Amino acid sequence: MKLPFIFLFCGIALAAAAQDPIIYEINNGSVHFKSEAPLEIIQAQSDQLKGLIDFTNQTFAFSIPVTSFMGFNSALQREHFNENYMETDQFPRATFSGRLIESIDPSRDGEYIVRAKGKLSIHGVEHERIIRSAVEVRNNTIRIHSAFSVLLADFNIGIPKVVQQKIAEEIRVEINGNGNLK
Amino acid sequence: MRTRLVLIPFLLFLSPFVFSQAPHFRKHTLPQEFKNAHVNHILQDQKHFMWFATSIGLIRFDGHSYKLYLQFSDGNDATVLFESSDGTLYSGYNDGKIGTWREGAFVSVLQIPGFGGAPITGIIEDRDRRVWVSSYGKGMAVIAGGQITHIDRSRGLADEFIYCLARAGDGRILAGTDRGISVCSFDGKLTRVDVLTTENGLTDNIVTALSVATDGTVWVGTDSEGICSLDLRSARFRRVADPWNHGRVTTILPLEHTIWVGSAMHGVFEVDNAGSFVNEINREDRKLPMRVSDLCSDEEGNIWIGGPGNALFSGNRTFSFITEFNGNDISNIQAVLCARDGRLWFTTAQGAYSIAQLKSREHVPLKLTDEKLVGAQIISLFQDAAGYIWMGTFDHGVFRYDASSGSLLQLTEQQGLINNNVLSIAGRDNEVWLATLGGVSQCTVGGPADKPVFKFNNYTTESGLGSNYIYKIFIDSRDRVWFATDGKGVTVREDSTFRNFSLNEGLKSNIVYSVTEDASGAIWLSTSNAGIYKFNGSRFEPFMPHNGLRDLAISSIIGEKNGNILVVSKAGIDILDPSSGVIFYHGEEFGMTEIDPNLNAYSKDSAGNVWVGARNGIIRYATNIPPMRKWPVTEINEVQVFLSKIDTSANVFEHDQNHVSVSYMGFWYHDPAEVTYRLKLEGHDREWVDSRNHFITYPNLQPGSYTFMVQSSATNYFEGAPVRKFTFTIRPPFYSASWFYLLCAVATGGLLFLFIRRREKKIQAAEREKKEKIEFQFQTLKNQINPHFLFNSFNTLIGVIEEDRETAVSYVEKLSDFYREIILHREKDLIPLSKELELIDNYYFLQLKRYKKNFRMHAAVPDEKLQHRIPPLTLQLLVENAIKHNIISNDRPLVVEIFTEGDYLVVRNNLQRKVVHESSTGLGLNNIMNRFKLLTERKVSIRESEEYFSVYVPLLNPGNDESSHH
Repeated sequence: MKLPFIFLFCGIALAAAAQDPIIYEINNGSVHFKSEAPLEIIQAQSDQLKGLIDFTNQTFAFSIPVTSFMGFNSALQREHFNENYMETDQFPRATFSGRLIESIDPSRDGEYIVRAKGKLSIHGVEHERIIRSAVEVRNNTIRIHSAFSVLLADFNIGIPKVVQQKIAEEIRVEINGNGNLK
Repeated sequence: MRTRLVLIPFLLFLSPFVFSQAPHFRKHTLPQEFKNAHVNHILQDQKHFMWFATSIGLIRFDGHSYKLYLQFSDGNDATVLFESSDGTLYSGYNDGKIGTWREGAFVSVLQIPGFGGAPITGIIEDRDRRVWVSSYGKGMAVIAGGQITHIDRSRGLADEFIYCLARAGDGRILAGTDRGISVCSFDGKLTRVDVLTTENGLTDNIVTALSVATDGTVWVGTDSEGICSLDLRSARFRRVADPWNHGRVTTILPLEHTIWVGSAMHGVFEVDNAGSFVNEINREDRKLPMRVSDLCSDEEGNIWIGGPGNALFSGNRTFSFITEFNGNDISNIQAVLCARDGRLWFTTAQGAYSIAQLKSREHVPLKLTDEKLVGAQIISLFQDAAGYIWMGTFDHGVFRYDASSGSLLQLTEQQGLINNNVLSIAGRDNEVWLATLGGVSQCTVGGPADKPVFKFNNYTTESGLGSNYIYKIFIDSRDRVWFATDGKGVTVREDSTFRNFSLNEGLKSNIVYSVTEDASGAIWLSTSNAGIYKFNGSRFEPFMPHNGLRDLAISSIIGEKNGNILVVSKAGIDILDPSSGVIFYHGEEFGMTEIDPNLNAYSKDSAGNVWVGARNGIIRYATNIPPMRKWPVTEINEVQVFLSKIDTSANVFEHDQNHVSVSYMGFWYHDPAEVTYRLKLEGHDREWVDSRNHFITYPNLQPGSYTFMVQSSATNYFEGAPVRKFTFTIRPPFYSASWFYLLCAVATGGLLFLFIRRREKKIQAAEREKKEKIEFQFQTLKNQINPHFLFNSFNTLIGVIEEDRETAVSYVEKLSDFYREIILHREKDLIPLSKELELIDNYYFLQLKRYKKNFRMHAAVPDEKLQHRIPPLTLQLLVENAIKHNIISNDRPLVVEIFTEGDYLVVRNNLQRKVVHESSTGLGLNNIMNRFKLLTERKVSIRESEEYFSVYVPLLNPGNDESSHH
């Protein structure tokens, strides 16, 4: 199910074609999340975040396979994560795509704060989010870092009452990515 | 004696020690079926209704009931509401629809080409009454006279994701977008779009709220950087309310002196014009939503707050409350003082506190502690002209606090104070008056600031005071000093002489708790159990408001700068309007339940606001907001005849439209339950009728003129209340009007006359016809039994018998057929032409035998004419006529031709008139003509030439209506 991502990719590519855009590709990004509930801390990480940032047209798209998260407290927990909560069979990917609010000049090295506004899609539910990100540009490479939180209720992820003490309602998410000019 | 003073700053938390005050907000509980409604937008229309755009549809509220407006089957998630100057209500929806409404009824759907289902985020009207609509994702559009101009990035718009619209003072339209503010000028077409971004000083390019204050300042709310103000002329931004860490600004409501800001994270904030936080509304009222969708101020000055999850609140700003500071409850206030530096002082059984307003950024609250203060109950506070805070106590005399140095100084009986129980302090210049339980001390402060000299002049009953127990000292604008005493009424000191007013001077109670002066200079007092009194110069007159006092035990009476008098009792703080004599109760609905205030625990700040200490906190009465309305706004909402709505511009009803109902409303959102009505139907009621309903029906009204009148009041007192009227007339029924009688008489006479005339004509016609018919029959019969005919027939017969018996038999048969046909048809009015031709055939046969070849008859009638009809025996008569009047001989045979010409049957013979006429009455032809006259307009015509004699007989259509004469 790589199709939506490819579509986004094409969309950006097409939109960009006219202006010979400056596009960065993030190939080895990581997503880390953490649930701090009174009885248990759960965290997991995936290194399969991929994304594109088009600074000319101020658009971006990110995608990650949800099944790629590792590092749970137990294998069973990971299974629950995929089968019960995220329903990865039905919703294999989490995506975030949209546009950049702040415009930066990526030809100039430096550190910038950029807000990305777009549709965050998790568990098949889309939410408009504005996510603040630190962007560092050095010699045609880019490094992004961003931290935000996700409310499970927003994305229709139900937690059975019995485990409410073990799973936080608000999940902290941290993203890191490195990319190169395409 | 030297007193040792210790001041310990009392740090309770690390967060700022400041106070906020908030009005009491009432939660409006939407009906069960509206639950899950997210209130997105709030508006009050010109008809005074409150409208809410919610996720489940539009909701209209009148203070009592909610009405849900669902118009669309595919979703009613309303995002925004706007009422144009012509009274059209526009509703925008999340799926891009726009509905228009009038008088609470749906009118139409507005489609904006190019919006394609993007959520509607703003609707606004410019000065030329063009309507602007913004969308989230598809730019905006201007609608002017059916012409829609779409504005997007290609037209210079900063961005097509628009959060909000506002109209600037100069008429330009502002749009807040993801990439700054677009400022649009429009003059027939879009003339100019200016874009303001962070490059111009905007704090954040994501502009989520825009509002224009009456002074022209544009207030800008952003996604991440709070609010800033914009001076549009210079395009300069100013960051205010900094720092901001309350999430997105969702809405901004500019008021007279402050702006209210709704946030997505921490509820509502109040910021003053200088840009400082004044209040954190949620700090005081924790039930308010943390995520605010909209703020709205109605025409009564109530603030409405909407949010997700059914959140709908309203509060009146007249009273606001401080119930805590930094998590500490403020309760059982003994004394209150608004210091001139803006700090608020109050005392409780736990001691004396001084707290700062939020905006002062002075984060240090004070709690005064001292070994002498421990156990000292501070029951009175006063700030003198030099700025010292005076604190009167039970048993510990009075303390004077110097805020600049933090030094505290105690004055007791040892320093000359008359008594150590100081209940009330007043003063002017360097003179401080101290009321005690043992008389009054007048303290004059002299000497240098670091070595003050206190000189006491003491007064007691011996000096002329009514009593030595004094509850309140009050210095009026004429420098008179008033003493409210326990047991001896009130004493006034004027020009160094004391004068006492008690039972003999009008008071019904000698226990006077409080004295005040109103804005017009009149002196008022309140008593422990006999209400309030007004001084007329020589006596105190009891003053009972028209609608009564809620409690005769008044703890404080306070004149405020707008002319009202606050009457403070256990039940709340009621507002007396001395000019009208009406008092407005303010209790539970305003957040005041059993406030149980201490005597005279109040203070006025430099702006004139009144702060009252109570059981559950400090109550602020605001004088710097628009004065409260005296009356609810009364409106007649609907008039119904037999329970169906009518247009009120129509006010003349028929006699049977005599069941009239009126629905009316006194809009009074801050306390709708208090509203009562007085109704009168002039022409029906003699007296006003009191009511609590919003609807009345007058069934079975007699014809006449009526005026429905309604007043509403929140005080049960109606004198001077505006009257709403609806005048209507019920017409008398037409059958009881005199013109109708006259008309009936004339009509009856006329009809009778016409009837008689018609009848006469008919009779005449019938008679004539009958006569014609009889004559015709008679003529025919006469002809047939004409002896000639018989004689001739018999002669012919004789001849035939001799020659040919068989022919004779056939001849007799034909003769008999002929007579039978005559008998068969003569009674009929009309017979088909075919029958008539058969008849004439028989006749021809008979005549043929007689005249042989000398007589010939040709009938040539086309088939389609055979069913046309003619009166029976017409042809026979005509043919017979021809035989009778013409020579028939071998040399000159008679030829009769029967044919049709158009709609006429023609009987034509060659004309060879006999010289000697056979006897003729001339009746035959005449008779035919008359008969036809009765049957048709068309006439029988006779044409005679040298050669021919022709008779034209009209043919009547089969089943024709020309026979309608019959």
